[in-house]
Amino acid sequence: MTFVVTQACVDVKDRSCVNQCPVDCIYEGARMLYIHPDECIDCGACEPVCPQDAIYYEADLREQNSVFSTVAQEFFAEVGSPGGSADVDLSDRDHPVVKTLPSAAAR
Amino acid sequence: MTSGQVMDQPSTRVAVIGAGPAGVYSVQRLLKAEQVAGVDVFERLATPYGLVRYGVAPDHGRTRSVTRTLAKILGDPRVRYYGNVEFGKDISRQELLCRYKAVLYATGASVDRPLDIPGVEISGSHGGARFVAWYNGHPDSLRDKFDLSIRSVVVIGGGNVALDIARILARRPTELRGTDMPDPVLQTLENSAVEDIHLVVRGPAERAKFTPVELRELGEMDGVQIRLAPEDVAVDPDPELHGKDTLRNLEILKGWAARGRVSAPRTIHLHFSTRPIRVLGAERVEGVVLRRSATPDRGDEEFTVDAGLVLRAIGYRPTRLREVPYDEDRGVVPNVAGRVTPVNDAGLAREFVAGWLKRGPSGVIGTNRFDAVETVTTLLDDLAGDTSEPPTLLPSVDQLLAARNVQVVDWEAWLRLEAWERDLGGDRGAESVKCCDPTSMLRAALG
Repeated sequence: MTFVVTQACVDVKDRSCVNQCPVDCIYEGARMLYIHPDECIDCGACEPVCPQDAIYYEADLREQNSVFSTVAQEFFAEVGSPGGSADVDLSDRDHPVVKTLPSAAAR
Repeated sequence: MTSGQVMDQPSTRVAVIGAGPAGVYSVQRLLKAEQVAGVDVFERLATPYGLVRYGVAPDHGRTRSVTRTLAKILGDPRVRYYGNVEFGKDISRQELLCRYKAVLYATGASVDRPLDIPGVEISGSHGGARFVAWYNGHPDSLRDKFDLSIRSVVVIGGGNVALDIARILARRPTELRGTDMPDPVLQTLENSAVEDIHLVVRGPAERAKFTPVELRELGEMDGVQIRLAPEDVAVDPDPELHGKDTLRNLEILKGWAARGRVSAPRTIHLHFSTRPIRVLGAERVEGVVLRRSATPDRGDEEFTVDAGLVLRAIGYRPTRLREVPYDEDRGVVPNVAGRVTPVNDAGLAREFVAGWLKRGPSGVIGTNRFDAVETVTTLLDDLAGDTSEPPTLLPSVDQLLAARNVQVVDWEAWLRLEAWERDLGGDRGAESVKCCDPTSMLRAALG
């Protein structure tokens, strides 16, 4: 189990969570942030600070957001495990599912 | 000095007291500052990581893996690790202030807050922090023994520490063999006769401070059933009134209340809106008198639960640091944004505080990172305002400690101790196993 960033982050990227993460496992993509499922230590520091309420524990994901668990896994299957987001730039990337989401303004 | 380049090199070292998350995240931030040449970290124990090592439950391996991040920070060549060096005993506040421009305290809060009820001193009644330290192999618990040849345990407390204790007591020992618990602890748990664990929570379910992730785990253990009064969770979830965590907790608890009774070797009984009145027993604890708060339908109810062991996990408080200001009521070092008060005439300080010692025992590991950033920002501001030469008083810290025959465990020595723990783990099929005997630990570290 891990924490997962969901749809409410798309095109918002508030980034409050990034400063809270003790292991720098929250990576910034082009349209949203992604939590590395293997690097996350389940501490839960990120979840309450998200003003968008976008972060959920995997077991708490509701139907409409359950895809984001797979999204994170597949996103990092491609990226690998950099061991911390401080020196990595993924800001031009997104998971295909995220790329095709309508813009927040249109939703 | 032969060249300007050398002159420009920063020469300021900062002392950090405590190698738990608050201390190490402070180090991380300090190392990013140009004016800081390096950081010296003083830790009372031989081992780093504080409550990550001795507080986080041994079955929470994922959370413990934060040590990988902490190790990278402490292993930086600009950091000197002084393990097994106790502030106020092996080296004094004044000695540090004469040798560093800034001293940052991050010794946390790791002892039990007292609970003042009759009978609390009877044998078999202990603080929860003490029990946690024991099952985590803390060197201070070397002589602690917990008698688990009893059937029923009362755990007092409404937070994650109480949940950790209940979970460890309820787990099948086979599930714990792969953790780093010391062998004697594992043996005690293997021979445990505990069948009933009563979790006594003062407030109602909707005010419990459990995090949903930890609460849910309680219901996912093999051979464990959870019992609670449906009326305790009858409250209607209200997104206007209740936070996200409360809504989840209620959902989890309602699910358990709706489960039918099954036969299971161990039962965790959740008592909400219930407070302990007195501990019963003569030579040993025999039970606890509890009082359940009134509801619209009935008045206060007093009842007794049999118990051969009582553990009170009602919160942590810090151990006072010698000669460092301390606010007894709040249980913290008085500070403004991490600057220990009162400050000097120029409004600057040379002493700083981070983590639980600064803000009290709340929050998760990540909270300390955010908190350390605030303190170090303050510290760097004050350093910038301090134009005096860096202190170079002799004898140096190393000379002082050597003269006092302090057996310093430096980073290399800690890595040897860690490797030894991995060897111990091999015998049990665990990644590593702790030993809580300081003599053996020092031998492994220092040869």
